[in-house]
Amino acid sequence: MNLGYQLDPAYVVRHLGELGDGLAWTLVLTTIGLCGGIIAGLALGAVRAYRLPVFSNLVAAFVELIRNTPLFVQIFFLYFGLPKIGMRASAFEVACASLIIWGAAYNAENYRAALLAVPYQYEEAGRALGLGEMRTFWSIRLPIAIRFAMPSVTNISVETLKNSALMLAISFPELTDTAINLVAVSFRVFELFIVIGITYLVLAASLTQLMRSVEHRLAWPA
Amino acid sequence: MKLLQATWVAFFFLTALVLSPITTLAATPTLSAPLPQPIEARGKLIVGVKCDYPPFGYVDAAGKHAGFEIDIVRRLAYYAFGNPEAVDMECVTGPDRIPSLTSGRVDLIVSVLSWTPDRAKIVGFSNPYFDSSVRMIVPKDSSIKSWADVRGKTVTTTTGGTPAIWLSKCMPSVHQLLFDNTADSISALNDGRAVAYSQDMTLLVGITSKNPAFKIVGEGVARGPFGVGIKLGNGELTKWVNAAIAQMTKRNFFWKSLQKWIPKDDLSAFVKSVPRPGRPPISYAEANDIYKCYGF
Repeated sequence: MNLGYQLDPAYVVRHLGELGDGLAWTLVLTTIGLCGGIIAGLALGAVRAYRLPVFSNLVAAFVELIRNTPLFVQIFFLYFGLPKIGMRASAFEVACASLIIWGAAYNAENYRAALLAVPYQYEEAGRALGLGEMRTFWSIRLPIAIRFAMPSVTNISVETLKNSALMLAISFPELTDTAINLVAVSFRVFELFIVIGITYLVLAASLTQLMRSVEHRLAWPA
Repeated sequence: MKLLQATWVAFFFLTALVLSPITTLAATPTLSAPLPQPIEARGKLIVGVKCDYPPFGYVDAAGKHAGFEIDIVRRLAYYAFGNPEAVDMECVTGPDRIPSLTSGRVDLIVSVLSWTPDRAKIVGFSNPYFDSSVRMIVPKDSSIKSWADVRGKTVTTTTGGTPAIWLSKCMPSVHQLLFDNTADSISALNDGRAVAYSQDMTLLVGITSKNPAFKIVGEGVARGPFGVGIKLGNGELTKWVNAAIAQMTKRNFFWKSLQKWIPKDDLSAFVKSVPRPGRPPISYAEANDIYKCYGF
């Protein structure tokens, strides 16, 4: 098939160093965004599930704000908007913060739903055994909720990986930004996009696999 | 008595009739090359100009063409027909300007057309009338004067643009903050994320003329002089345009016009940018190697 375009795989090989650096930054961003998003999301989800006065409403407003605006706009706001009120964060800080904030908002809903899905009989059983409210939460309600939430948290985790590509907008040198900058100079569009496309595919599939094995590890014998 | 009056009137008109071509001739300098016949017969020039590139070629608030290149176009019309308005100006864009010339829609393009070896194969160039190059803008209070001052620092520019390629090749110690549009780069410069914004000086002057918080600095690198674009092989018209440019140079027309369009504070960066009497002419030779490092 003649595409009128000569593929040059050697070009990608010559630039593996730069692409490797980009990949490393993508992994760093994904790890931070994923862990931060899960921990913060769990805390916010608990606030919602227990309807802590005032805080619960604040969290609900936060979740709506983040869910109903594009992540792209949020990144721009953090990077270009905040310096106007005297808060200048580096591209790396903005990248991490925006992924954590985004993940936290979505995971808050996941964990809220999971906590509410734990049958109240479990809680009653715990209290009947003489466990305190905190102890019941940590030892009974939370472990069950974490297991309930696993599939939807896996979704958000894979999204976090893919969302890291949006840091292109603030010139943070993750994988996509690195590739686009190479394309802009060399016009080697196909080589680079095939390579980063496959890389994301492999990364996302591995992440899903990893999350699934955690899920299986946690599963109780039926 | 009546006869005498009639004679006077007739004499007056005859004198005016005889003198009028002489006065026109006196005002319009004869160029060393004649205007090609088809254009002469048409009675006006048709020129492709930029309509969105202040202060070179743009449409002003009154809807009229204005700018440094428009001054040149009007001058060409004046040399051709003794009337600066004897010209139809057509707006051209970056991608369509060369096709509009090769297809014969326009006689000439005066549209920030920089000379490159590749372009010279498909379009004829007059002698250069403006020496463009890549420079930087920095905040007014910045101590940066030269490219040497940005070594090891962060410079913002456009993804894939000439400055980015030049910096990668010649100044690898500079950290590049790349965005795909000017507004983001200016924002980053404003926020102190970069110490300078690097671009073609014609674009930079458009920024400084609107935003007095910045100034243009740095030696001109990645040079690409502008010429009038003429259909390849039209030697007669090329000779005429070159004669017109020589005449404008002699009269210091380019520098006088530039002073109207460039903010006073930036004018010093442009002293060597246009052909002027008694100065070495601008040459396309530098543009053969646009990524020359000049020791940086």
